[in-house]
Amino acid sequence: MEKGIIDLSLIQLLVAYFLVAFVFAVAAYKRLKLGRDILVSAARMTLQLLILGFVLKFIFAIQSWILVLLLFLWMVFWAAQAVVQRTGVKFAGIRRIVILSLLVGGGSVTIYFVFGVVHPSPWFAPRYFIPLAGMIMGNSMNGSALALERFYSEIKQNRLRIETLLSLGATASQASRDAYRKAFRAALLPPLMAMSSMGIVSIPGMMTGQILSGTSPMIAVKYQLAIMTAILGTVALNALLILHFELKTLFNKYHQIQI
Amino acid sequence: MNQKTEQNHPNQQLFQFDTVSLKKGNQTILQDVSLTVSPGDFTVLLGPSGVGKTSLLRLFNALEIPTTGKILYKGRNLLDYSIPELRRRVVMILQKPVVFEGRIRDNLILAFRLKKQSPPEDATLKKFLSRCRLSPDLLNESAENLSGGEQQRLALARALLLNSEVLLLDEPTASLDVESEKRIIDLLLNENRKSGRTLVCVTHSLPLIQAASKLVFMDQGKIIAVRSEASNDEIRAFMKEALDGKGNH
Repeated sequence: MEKGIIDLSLIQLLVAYFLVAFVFAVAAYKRLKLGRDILVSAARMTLQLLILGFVLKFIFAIQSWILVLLLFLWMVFWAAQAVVQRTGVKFAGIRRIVILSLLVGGGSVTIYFVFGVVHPSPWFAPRYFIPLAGMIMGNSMNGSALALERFYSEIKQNRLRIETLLSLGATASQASRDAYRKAFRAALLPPLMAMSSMGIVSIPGMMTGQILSGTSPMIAVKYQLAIMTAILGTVALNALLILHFELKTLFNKYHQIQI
Repeated sequence: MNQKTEQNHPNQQLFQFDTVSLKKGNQTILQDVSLTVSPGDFTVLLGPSGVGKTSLLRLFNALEIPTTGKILYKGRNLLDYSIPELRRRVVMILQKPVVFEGRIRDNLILAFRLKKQSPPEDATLKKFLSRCRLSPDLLNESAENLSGGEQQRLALARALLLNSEVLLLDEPTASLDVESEKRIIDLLLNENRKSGRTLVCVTHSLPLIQAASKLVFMDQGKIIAVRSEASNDEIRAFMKEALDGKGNH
């Protein structure tokens, strides 16, 4: 056991899992038809995190920038997959624009944060790079999904209004300005709400983790403040990119709606 | 049907459709459409629902793009123009007029704002409201409180303010009461006859059809006849025949 950290034994972990069993029992008793979902989610979480633990242990031991980069690309791929599946939005080229936005948006904020703020040595030090990139990519994914879905549904629902504007000589960008604003707002709202409620309503996850692992609360606070700026930055950058590419895809060069 | 040969003066043609087809997915909407429109023409596209009239109308200002064939506007490929500029010269009024939130004034000057141009003076705006049979006193009233007919006339005033060469109208009198329909028709005829504005219109309104200088009869995505005039009986017979052929009522 590392100094100051209480490791969890298998029995302690099992005690924690009793809460899952409790929820399963309630769902069964109330006939909520959620039993399968609860079991599958718990099993997926367990398996995925165990695999992640082994992978991280391996990567931490090897200390290779190639492996760190591969893991980052892996995150981008799965984040894109989740965005496409979760939003249910379908148009030609959607996967390409999501991957590009996540790669450029999430990637550039990660690089900025690692080189500009944290300065780990070496730069790819997995202990810093991977959790930071993970948090940035996770939020990039949520921001992209919200922006993508909202813009698409606004264009679809307001087709008549948009075509009226196009018919009066508006460009595609002018005609979809309202949709763009709403989509951008939808993407930025969760991090903005999290920022304004942080420390009052909740103690954020990363800070909790650091405090539990023995880090001084003030260091944890500084990391949390820094990561929140990165999250806000990456969500905004991803929303900008995804909306730019989506606009170019949903309208053609003749300022005509393509869906 | 006695088909008159269409007059063909290439230099005077505003629009020239050359074997234009439009497909969406596997569906053919329009097939080998060839048509000319001269300046000052009042063209009405006729036919039952679903034969491609609205799609043909939307091709005039590039709200639809031909799958094959070519459309010339003033002798030049329509798609070579800046499309937003083209749509200011060839303005379309959609079947269901959209009125934007805000005052009537805001709606009238919308196109000027889009182009970052200074809007016309209030006196000019009031003049256009009167021309479209709307009270000039309404200028600073909320546009959303207008009735369906008034909204249609506001959409017309908004389009006329652009001083476009061509007005494209999709069922401009649909779902209007008799009085509103009459006002819209008077207004359109005035625009065509006195101001020389070219009109292309999809309509089932007999008074509008009677006033047209060119009738384009359509069926199943094709133009089956182009006439300069037709009697009411001929028009009714065609509409009935086309409807019967499609098994519609």
